Amino acid sequence: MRWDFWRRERREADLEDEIAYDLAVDAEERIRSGATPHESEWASRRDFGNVPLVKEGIRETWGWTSLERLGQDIRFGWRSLRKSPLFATMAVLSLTLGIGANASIFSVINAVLFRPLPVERGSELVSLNETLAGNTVPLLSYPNYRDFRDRNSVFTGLAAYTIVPASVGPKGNAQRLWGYVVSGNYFELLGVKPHAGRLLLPEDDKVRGGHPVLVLTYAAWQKRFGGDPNIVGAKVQVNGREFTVLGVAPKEFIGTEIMIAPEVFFPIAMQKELEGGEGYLDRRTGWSVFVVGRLKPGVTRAHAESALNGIAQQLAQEYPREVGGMKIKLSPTGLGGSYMRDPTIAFAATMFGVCCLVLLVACTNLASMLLARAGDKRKETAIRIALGASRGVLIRQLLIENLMVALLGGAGGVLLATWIMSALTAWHPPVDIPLIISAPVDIRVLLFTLVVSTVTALLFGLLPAFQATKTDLVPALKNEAATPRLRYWHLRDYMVAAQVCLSVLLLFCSVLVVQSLQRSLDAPRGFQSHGLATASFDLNMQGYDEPRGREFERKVLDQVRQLPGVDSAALVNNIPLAAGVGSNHIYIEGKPVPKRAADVPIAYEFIATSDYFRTMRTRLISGREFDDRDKQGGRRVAIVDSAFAEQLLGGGSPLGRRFTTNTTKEPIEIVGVVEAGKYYQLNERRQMAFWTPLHISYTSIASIVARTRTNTPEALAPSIRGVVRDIDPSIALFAAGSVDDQLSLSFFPARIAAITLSAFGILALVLSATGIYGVMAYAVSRRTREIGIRMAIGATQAQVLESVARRAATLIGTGLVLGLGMALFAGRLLGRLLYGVKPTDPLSFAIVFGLMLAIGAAATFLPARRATRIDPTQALRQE
Amino acid sequence: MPKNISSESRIELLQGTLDMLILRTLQWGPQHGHGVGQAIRQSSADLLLIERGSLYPALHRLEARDLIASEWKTSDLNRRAKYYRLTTAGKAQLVAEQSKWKLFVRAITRVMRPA
Repeated sequence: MRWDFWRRERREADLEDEIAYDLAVDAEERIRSGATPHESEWASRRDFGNVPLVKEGIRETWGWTSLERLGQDIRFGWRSLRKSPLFATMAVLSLTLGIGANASIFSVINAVLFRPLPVERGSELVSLNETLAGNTVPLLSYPNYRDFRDRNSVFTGLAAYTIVPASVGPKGNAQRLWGYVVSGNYFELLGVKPHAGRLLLPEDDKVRGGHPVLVLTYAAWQKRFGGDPNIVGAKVQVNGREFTVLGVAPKEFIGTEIMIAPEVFFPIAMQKELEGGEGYLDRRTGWSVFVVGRLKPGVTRAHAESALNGIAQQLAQEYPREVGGMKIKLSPTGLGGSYMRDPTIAFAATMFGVCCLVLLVACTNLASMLLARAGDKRKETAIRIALGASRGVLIRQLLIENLMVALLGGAGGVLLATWIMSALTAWHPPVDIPLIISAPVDIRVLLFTLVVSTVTALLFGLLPAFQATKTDLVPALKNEAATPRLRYWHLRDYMVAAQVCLSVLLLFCSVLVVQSLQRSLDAPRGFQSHGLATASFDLNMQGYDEPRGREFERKVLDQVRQLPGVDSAALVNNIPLAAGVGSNHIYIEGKPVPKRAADVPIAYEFIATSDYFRTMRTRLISGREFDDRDKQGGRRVAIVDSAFAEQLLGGGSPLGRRFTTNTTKEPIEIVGVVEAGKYYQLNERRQMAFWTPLHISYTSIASIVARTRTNTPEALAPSIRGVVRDIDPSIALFAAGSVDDQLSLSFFPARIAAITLSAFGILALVLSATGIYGVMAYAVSRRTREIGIRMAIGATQAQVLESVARRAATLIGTGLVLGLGMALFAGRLLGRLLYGVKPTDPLSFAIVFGLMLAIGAAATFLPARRATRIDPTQALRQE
Repeated sequence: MPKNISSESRIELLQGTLDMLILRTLQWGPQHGHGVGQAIRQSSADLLLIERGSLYPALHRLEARDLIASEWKTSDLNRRAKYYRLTTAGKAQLVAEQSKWKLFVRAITRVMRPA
């Protein structure tokens, strides 16, 4: 670089000398033929032509000028930006926000959708999703998994895994952590090599209950066992049983779900020992295991899918009651099959679209600022053209200047995204699952940002650059007004209209989505979470059998009810909306059983004690709550919600009607009806649910819910802990605190979306406010003289105000109308994502209309008032 | 510059011929830029006037193509000047251009010959 620089200097000096010599010799010849020295020098120069232009032509031949010219342009651009620091700061800042938002969303998309799993040829892996009775779930029953595995010829292998909590550690110091229960071929299929010892093999998955072995993740080995070098072969306690550590998985391997990090792997033959209950390895119904497969070379996904559906048809014939109508869909592995992937894609795409709109608003804003700047630099541009600069050169310089702004903005955007992403990674959602959100800014994100910045620079720079260099030299040099003819509308004005239009669109979409989220938050949930305390326990882990478990649950409930400050308390297997829920097929007595399993209705199933509905403040519509009659061995009864009653029992009193389920063949009598609610997701459509009494059904995993008198559920958690410790100190409580906190996960995506969208909406609003203000202020300053003349010949302040404001009003009005038109269209696209809000919601329209009008009026008022204060005598003397 | 010939009778150079003229002029020995221009003017009996705005870029272009080389020497007027000379490649190029030019002239003359 230094050498190049030195060579450039010398070449420049040589060129200078060469031309000087030519001029001198030429002048001397003229003197010899009789001219005066003064004349001859001028004649010689005139004859030579435009020296800088000739020099430029010569430099072109040097070959390495394009790089050098770039350097010049960059220096020029830097100087020009430094001359207007306000513009530069505004431009870089608005791009930083616009590009930063884009880069952040892209980091998430990149991490979630584009990065393959960190295993050998991770992109070849696919997950199986089962569709049955209108539900698509990325889980299969274990017998179905086994049949698909053994009958197919399109996969090199199919492995099953599921996620379970377990208490793991040295005796007396076990901790509750999350693990995968995996089929014996899991690691082989993924091609994962051990960090130490060995991983699970098919031999470890032969005899039910016969393989008390496990594999640790690298992180768990470090964190839970301090990186113990003698870990291989060590004995640890798992749910009160002794297991042997076979080995440690490699550092980068964290299972096959992107967002859930397990700490330990068990063979699936130990499923019953780990999870308790009857186990599901022989149950053909229900959703038990994730299934992942690696396609054989040359097999397409469509081909594999049709092969699997062939097997599904065989199975449907063999087991019509359990799996009739089952269909299989394949999806990439890593996000719970298609279950989380599809909503994630939809969410990311929406956010991405919104980000692009914000960036577009920022671009329009910059474009109008640049147009105003071009007006200010008109004279300078004219001088440079007069001196021989070509239009191409000027455009190139302007574009490079814009590119510099865009790249600075891009760099700022990357910093912003990095900051947002590290905040996101550091944040742990208040749930009991080891969620990891890791979306680092990697090379792909950097490349993306670079491309976005460049495109941005072209977007906001090209038009102004062409406009700026289209200058009539003579009036520009003479300092005359830009428009000798009364050209009323200028490109800048269209920019204002475009900006208003985009902002309206953006604002309308965010108002719609925020309203929709608010409605889904406000929608009746069928219970009141505020003031509810909770804590959960898992008795399997302590090796409790059913009689001991029942005893424990009875004692806990009795004592919690005695606690001061507790109004009422109950036990339930799952708190609705907090984590998972179970569901079951319903067969109403006296109604024909559908031929295909796919046609059997499904309802959410809960198991609860007496007082549950009173504690949750769920309204009882008819019949009774669970009470002392519902004890072990008692009559099988259930309480259903009104959705269940309406959809399955339509007409007549539901009380006394009976039904069976997949798991209970004994008829269950309906003794009560409660209001319908939300059970799994806030934005779910009306779903059916039923409850059975815990004293009859039994669950080993349960949550205590307690209604506090003082609405301070957090304060109750220590007392509940105390109660449990007094009964059995080895029981670990989890998810203790207020129910509101537990629910926050299901509200989390909605909250995040609402916050981001509002932020974007406000950003767009601020950008367009500055845009309108900038352009109006500029227009007034350009028209100072005209306004002066008007006032000198008798225009009143009101007339001046009107002439300035009318222009703004026309622009803003046009933008508003166009924007609202586009918003109607966009609303229809959003329609499916909205809950409880129509895409034509008049309130949203009114809000956006009013807000934009107010902002527009404010941004116009200040410049317009300045116009009325123009002093005619001064205005005319100026220029 | 003496203007003893009216500008109307001057000839515009055909595109691409300037390089050939420069090479031809340098065949008589090293010369500086101004000298090359004068030599072309004189040997064309003032019919060809080379614009210096084209001459110097052409010289630099030829130098970049290694057809001519340059060095700084003291001129007759006792000043430092940049002298250009033909390289071996330049000589070969000149031979090639000359034969091409002859062919060209012959072809044009045949077409333009009065019928």
